[in-house]
Amino acid sequence: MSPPLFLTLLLAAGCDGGGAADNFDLVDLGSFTTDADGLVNIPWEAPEGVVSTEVFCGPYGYDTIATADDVSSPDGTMVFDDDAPYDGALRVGVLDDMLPVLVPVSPDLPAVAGEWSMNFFIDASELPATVSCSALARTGETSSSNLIDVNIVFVGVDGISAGMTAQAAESDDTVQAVVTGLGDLWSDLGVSLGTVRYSDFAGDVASATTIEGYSEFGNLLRTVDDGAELTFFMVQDIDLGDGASILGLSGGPPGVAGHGGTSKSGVVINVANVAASPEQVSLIMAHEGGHFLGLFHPTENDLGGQDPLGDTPVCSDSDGDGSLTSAECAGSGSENVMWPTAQVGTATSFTSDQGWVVARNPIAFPE
Amino acid sequence: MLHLFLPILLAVSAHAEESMHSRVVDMLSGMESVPSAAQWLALGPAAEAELEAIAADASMLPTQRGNALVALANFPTERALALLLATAENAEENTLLRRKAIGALGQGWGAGALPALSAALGQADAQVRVAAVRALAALPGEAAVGVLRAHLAKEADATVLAELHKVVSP
Repeated sequence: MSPPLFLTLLLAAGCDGGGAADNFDLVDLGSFTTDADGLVNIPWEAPEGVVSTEVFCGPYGYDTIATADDVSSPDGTMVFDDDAPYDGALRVGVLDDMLPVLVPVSPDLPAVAGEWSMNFFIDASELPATVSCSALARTGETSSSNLIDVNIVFVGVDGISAGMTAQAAESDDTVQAVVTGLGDLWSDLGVSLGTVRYSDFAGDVASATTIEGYSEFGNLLRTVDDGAELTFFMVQDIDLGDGASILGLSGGPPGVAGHGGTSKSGVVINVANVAASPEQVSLIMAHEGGHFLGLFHPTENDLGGQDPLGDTPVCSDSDGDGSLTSAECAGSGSENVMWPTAQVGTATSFTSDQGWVVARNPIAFPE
Repeated sequence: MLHLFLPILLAVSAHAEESMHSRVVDMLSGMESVPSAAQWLALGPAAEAELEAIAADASMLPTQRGNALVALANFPTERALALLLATAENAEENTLLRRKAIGALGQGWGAGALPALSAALGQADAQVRVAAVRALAALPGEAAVGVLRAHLAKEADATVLAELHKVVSP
């Protein structure tokens, strides 16, 4: 049930201080109700001169997942098929609460003007279900050199490193080492850090500083404001439910670019290791920020898939044990920042295609 | 003949140890994912000794040490139990490690961990108490619920109370 396009509300993306403030527009596509099988077609229009476009639908809660059954480009070509999710040049997650679909995530499928469409599928306990959708479109110039503004939000982590507060961060050696390291890693993408803001989390710090599960993760990301910047939440720990710590997590991927208030509007970084290794925190930020901006793991270490890029290394399971290790993939993946385990000092590079994708993200601003 | 083969045997053994160490460290360093129990068990008993060594090694990163403690729940031996208890009870230890040790005790030893988890409710650090509440809530049987209910009246920290209220009524 798509609303007439002329009724869509064109909103200027509410940006403050971000260089990319004029880069993109946000369109409210309205509400869509699925059929009894959980399917509904969602069309969205990409304007002339489009550089990137992103549609996102939700919220539908943390106990429900959704994905795209398929996505078609304006010429009618099916560019994503859930039956073969790693075959094409687009990647769509199977996600709780909010589903973003970003084009491009590969030079093999650039954003073009016209009507795109997604057959949205939701696995809800009660059907039909209704979701709200919006679409972003960035137009204008592209460049191989880009600025990305960053907002670093400290969530009760001054007990791990005293300088991790909004007041102290600018002059704190550890925080500045982390930020410099992020800039160094992203320079291989053709990205420079633009404005770097620091703030202290204004909500319930005691509960948000240790993320336990996807609902706490999503609720933290919902506190992001609109703006053409990438928000990093620095927390004490992230545990998705099995007790062990993960190092970071991005909304999406890809994240909802430039639009706050969704469970996919930012990135969370575990800073438990920052005192011993600020370099590792830089790597986690570069990696999770890469996910937010549309990059994926070159190869999954459980052999469960690969990114849609032609120039990222592909690692094969040489010992045939059904999984990949960083040692096994030395020279064929683990030197890339998007490698799925943290290889500090080794994972330092991005590829040309990865830079191409990030340069077209709605929150990247051409220098 | 032994003097000819001994250096080779030692070299092979050292390589295997190094290979296990680097593999385990890799598995403890996932950006967004952690290994399953089946993946740990597939490494065999040598993994346990490696996990214990990493968990006790202050030169390793806190999340690597913490994840090693969590992984020891898959190897519920007396040696692993001793390391987890010592970590959980050490008030001087990093909060992250104590939290992970408490979680691993619950996961690996179940109801057998009830005394240690009950004792952890008395620790000064609220985050450690939250970990104890969660571990106790996951135990089977009524005994753990009774411990949590009894703790409700003593707890003053809002975050711990919020966690308790998810499990037992005020």
